Amino acid sequence: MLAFFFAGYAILEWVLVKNKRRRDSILFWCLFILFTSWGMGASFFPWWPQPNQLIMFLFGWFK
Amino acid sequence: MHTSSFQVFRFASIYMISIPLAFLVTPLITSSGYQGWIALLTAAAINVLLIYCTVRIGRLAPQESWIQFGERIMGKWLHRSVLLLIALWTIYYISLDIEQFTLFYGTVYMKGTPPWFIQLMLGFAIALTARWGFATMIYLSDTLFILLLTGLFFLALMFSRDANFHMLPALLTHHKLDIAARDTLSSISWFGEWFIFLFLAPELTCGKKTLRNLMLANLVVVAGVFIPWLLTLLNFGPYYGGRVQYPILELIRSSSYSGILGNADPLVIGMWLTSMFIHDAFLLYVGTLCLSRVLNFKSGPHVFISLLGGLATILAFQYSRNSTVFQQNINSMAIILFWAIIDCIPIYYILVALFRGQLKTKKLS
Repeated sequence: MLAFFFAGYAILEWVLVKNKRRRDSILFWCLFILFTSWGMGASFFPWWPQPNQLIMFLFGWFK
Repeated sequence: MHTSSFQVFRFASIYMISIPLAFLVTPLITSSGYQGWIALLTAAAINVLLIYCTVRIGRLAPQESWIQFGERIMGKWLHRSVLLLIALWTIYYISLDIEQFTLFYGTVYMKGTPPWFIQLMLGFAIALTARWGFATMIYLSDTLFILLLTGLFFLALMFSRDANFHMLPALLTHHKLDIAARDTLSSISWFGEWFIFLFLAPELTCGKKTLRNLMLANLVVVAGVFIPWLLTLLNFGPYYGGRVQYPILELIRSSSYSGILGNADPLVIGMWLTSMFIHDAFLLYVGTLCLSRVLNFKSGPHVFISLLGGLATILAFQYSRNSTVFQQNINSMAIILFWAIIDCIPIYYILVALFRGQLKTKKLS
């Protein structure tokens, strides 16, 4: 639900942009696909990685 | 945009105080007890160094954005890596704020409401605030600053009446170095990200008075955390004070005042929530600027607000699946260390600029 909402909002923001450059258009859609697919994975799968897990993995030795 | 140098002071005060005011007091009492003031004052002293380094870097090119001239200090790819790290850090920070507020509001006022609904409202509100632009955030903070100072003043006045001042000598008799060191690092992680004000330029230039303004903001932040910490300790004691999740709320609700003063919590929460929106909206604004620079995106960085804000909201939803683990993680030394590493970004740039002889010249070439 959250992923769909913000995906829709992102598309709306992009549609409203005037004078889009071709390079920026490709960049935006690549990022859109990346963020939306990550968001959907995070929303639907409980095992999806979180930043806290990464930080604990990198710095968990520090007590 | 009409600017004045004192706007930096007001904006910095609102930005830095919003999160520690609500969430630092309880962990500090839990781990430090009576000696929490030592950690706060030591962190304030370390902040002086961080602020000095931030302003020193900003003054190398006051009219130019640090996003641009940082490359001339660190080198293109290293600077862009730092910008990418900052962009990811902003998403992470916003997600923590959303989840902490959801836990607070969901457990106190909206018990039957699913967390995703509160997170959606918050995430969307933060994105809209960021979308309004930098000038709007500055003007909002101008108004909120007066309300915040007034609120802190009344807080001190009202809750010192029932405070047990006989506990005060304990502040001097309790002093363990290892606890003080740990909590100093923890306090730095809560209010040490002064490098964020490098992103004020070019809208607000880094001038001669910026150092004074940020130092004053540091004082306001420390006082703003110290007063609720002391009041919570003197009203509830170290044992219960460390177990109260939202101390300011409990202070208001458990006070002997009736009428509007005894039920002022919605008003206080409303003011605090506005400061949190400004805080997170600025983070989102910074994240979009960093990402635009890294990707050389020219069609308007505001487009990324929805993507970054959405990801932060979804991360908050992930945390809400296991709140106990979330609370343990954010108070762990690993997260505190990560935060401290990020907060020291100005020091890395100063060291590199010193090594490259760039600090000798007044302006960066």
